[in-house]
Amino acid sequence: MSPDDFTASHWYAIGRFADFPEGLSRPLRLLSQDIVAVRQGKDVKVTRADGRPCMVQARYGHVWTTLMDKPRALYDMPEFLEEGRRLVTAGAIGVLCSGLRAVENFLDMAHFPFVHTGILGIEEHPEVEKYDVSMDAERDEIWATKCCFFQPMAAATATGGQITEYKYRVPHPYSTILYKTCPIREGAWDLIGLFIQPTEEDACIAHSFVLVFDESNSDTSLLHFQQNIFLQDRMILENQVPRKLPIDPRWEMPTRADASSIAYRRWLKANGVVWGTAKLAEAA
Amino acid sequence: MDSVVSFAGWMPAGLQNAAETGTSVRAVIFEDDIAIWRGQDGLARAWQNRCPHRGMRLSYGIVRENRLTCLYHGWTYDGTGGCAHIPAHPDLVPPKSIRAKAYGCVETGGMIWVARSESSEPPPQISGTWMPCRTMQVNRSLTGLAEVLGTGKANLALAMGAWAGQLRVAGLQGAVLLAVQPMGARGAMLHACVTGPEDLTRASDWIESLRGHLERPIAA
Amino acid sequence: MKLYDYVLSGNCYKIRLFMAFLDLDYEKVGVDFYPGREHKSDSFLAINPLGQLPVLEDNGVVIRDAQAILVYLANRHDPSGQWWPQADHAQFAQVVQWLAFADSITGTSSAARLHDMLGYDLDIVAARAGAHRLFRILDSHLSQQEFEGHHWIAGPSPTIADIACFPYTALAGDGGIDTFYYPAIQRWIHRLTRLPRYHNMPGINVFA
Repeated sequence: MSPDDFTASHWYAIGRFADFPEGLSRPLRLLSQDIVAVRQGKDVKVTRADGRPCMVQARYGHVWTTLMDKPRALYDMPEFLEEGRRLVTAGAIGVLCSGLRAVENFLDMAHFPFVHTGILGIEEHPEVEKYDVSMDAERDEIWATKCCFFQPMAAATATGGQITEYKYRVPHPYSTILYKTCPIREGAWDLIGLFIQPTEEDACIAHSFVLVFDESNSDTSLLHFQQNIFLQDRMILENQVPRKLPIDPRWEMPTRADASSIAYRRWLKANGVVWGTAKLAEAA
Repeated sequence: MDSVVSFAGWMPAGLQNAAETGTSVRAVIFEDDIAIWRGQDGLARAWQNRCPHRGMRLSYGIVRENRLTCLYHGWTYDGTGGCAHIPAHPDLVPPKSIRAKAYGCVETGGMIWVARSESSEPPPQISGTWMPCRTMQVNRSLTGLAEVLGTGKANLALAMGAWAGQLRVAGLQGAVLLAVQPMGARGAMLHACVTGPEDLTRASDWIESLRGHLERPIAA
Repeated sequence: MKLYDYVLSGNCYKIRLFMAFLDLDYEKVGVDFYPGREHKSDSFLAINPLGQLPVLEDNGVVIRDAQAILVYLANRHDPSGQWWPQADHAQFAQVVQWLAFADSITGTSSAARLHDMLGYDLDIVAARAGAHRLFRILDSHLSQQEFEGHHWIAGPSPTIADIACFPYTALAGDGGIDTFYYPAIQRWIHRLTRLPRYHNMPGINVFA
C-alpha cells in the first residue's frame, strides 16, 4: 500500500550524519520504498530505486529526507539554538510495530510504573491526574500540558520521589518531543525526542535524542539511560496486537489518562492518515 | 489452506505444567493468539491474548492471587475476565463492558484444552492419571493425529477426536496420550503425557524421533 | 572491581546478574557500544584487543570474555562453591560444556537481536534457525533434568552455566525468535527470575 498524502508529505529522519561514512552506499527503507543514502563530502545524497534524487536536509542532529517534491516544512525546535544545551543521540533502533504505536507509547504516562518501574514510576503511585490537551491550529500540532506524574528518580540529587511536570508535543505524525522540568536551571525545560523512520506500515526505526542542561552526567551515561528506557518500551511495542495502530475508538478502550492518545488518533484520522493504521475489519 | 480448518471444538493448548501457578504463557491455535494463565486457586484460564485497552499481549501479564494484571498499564482482570482495576484512575470503578475475551478452558489427561466461547461441544473428559512429559514444536503443518501416526512407530489404542489419542509405543510400559496443536504457518505442537515416571525419558526420546520423521523432507 | 559495561549487552548482563547474585560491589564503566562503536576505538582496543565487551578489572587482573569472567568471579568470590561445583568431575565438565554452549547461543540469538534491533547486516534467517536448533537442545536437556527432579542446567542448584545461557535465551524475542515453543525453557527462565537478588535487564519479562 502506498502512503496517504499526509504521511507522504513529511520529512523523515534516516540517521545521524555520522551514520553515513564517506563513499559507502547504504540501502534504506522509508514508507515501504527502497532508497539509497551515500555521503559525499559534507552532504548526504539520497536517491530512490529508480535513481531520482530526494531532497535532503540536516537538522536536529539527524539527516532528513522526503519522498515528496514539495514537502511540508519541517517543524521548528528553537531549543536546538539555545546556548549551553547538550545533545546526545541514541542511534537507530528497529522496532516491529507501526511507528504510530511508538509515538503513542511515548505520549503515555500511565505505563511508567509498570514498564519503567523504579525509574520513571512506581506501582504505589500510578495515578494520572487530569492534564490539558490542545491543538495548535496554526502549526497543526498537538500539545499535552500540565502533565504531572510521580517519579522515583526525578533527579540524581533527589533522595525521595517527587511529582515531575512534563509537556508533550506532536508536531509531525512520526515525531514527538517530551519537555521535562530541568532540575538545574530555573524555568528551563529538558527535551527528549523521538524521530520515527517508518519503514513499513508495521515496522519502524526509532531515532532518539536528549537535549539537556546537564553538567553532572557523561554522554555515555545519558545514552545508557535513554537506551535502557527505550528497550523497556520496545518489548511492549513488539507485543501489541495488531502491530498497526487502530484508530477506530470502538476497538481499543481508552480512559481519561489516554487523552493525548485520543487526540493523536483523532488528529491522524482528521488528516486522512490510513498508512500504518489498522482497519476495524482486521480485528476479527 | 490450513485456515480453512475451523477452530470448532476443543483443542489441546499445552501440557498442564506449561502454565505453572502464578504464570501466564502464550499459546497459538491455528491463527488464534491465546494467553493461558493460572491463579493461586490452581485454575487455568484461556483468554484472547490482548488487553482490551491497548492490545498488549496478556501472556506478558502479572498473575497475583486469582487476577491477571496487564504488564503495560496494570489494568487488572478478575478470574472471569472482567476488568477490576485501572491503576491510572484508582477511584474509578471500571465499566462492566471492559472485559478480556475468554475461551473455554478445561484440564484433563494432563493437558490444557481450549475452545472458542461460542462452541457448544462438551469438553473432553479423559480417564486415568496422566503425567506431562514433553511438548515439541514441529516445523510442519499438520491436519490431525492420523498424519502423525502414519510416520511414528506407534499403534492407536483409543482415538479422541481428530487431534488426540492414546497410543501403544514399543518399549514403553504404559500408554502415551498424544495431542496435536496446529499453529498455522508456525507448524504444530506435539504434546505427550505418560502414565508413570518410568516412561518419561523413553517417551521423550520417542517423540523426538517422531518429530525427526515428521520434519524429514517429503520425497516428491 | 571495574566492569566495562554496555546497558543493552546480554554478555555484560551475565556479569551484572552474577554480581547481583553474589552481592558484590563493583564500578561500572559505561561504553558507548552503539551507536558510538567505542569498543572498536583505540583506547578500548588497548584494554581488549578483541574489541568486545564485557571486560573485568580486579586488582590489576584484566579478564575478557563473559564466560571467563563468570569462572573468575565464581572461583574468587563464591566461598559456597555453589555456582561452580568442582567436587564431581562429571558435573564440573557439564558446567564447562554449557558455558561453551552459551557462546553458541550468543552467536545465533544475539546476532538475530543485533540485526533486528541495531540494524546489523547479517544472515537473519540463518541466525534464527541456528538459535532454534540450540533451544531445542536446551529444552530437551532441561526436560530431562526435570524428569530427574532437577531444575537447573547442571545439577540440583543453579550454576554459572545457567547464568551464561540465560540472557540470550530470555532475550531471544528481541531478535524475532519465539520461545513459547519451549515450555521447559520457559519454566527455567521463570525459576531463574525468581531467585533471590535477581537483577533484570530490558527485554526480559520477569513476570512471564
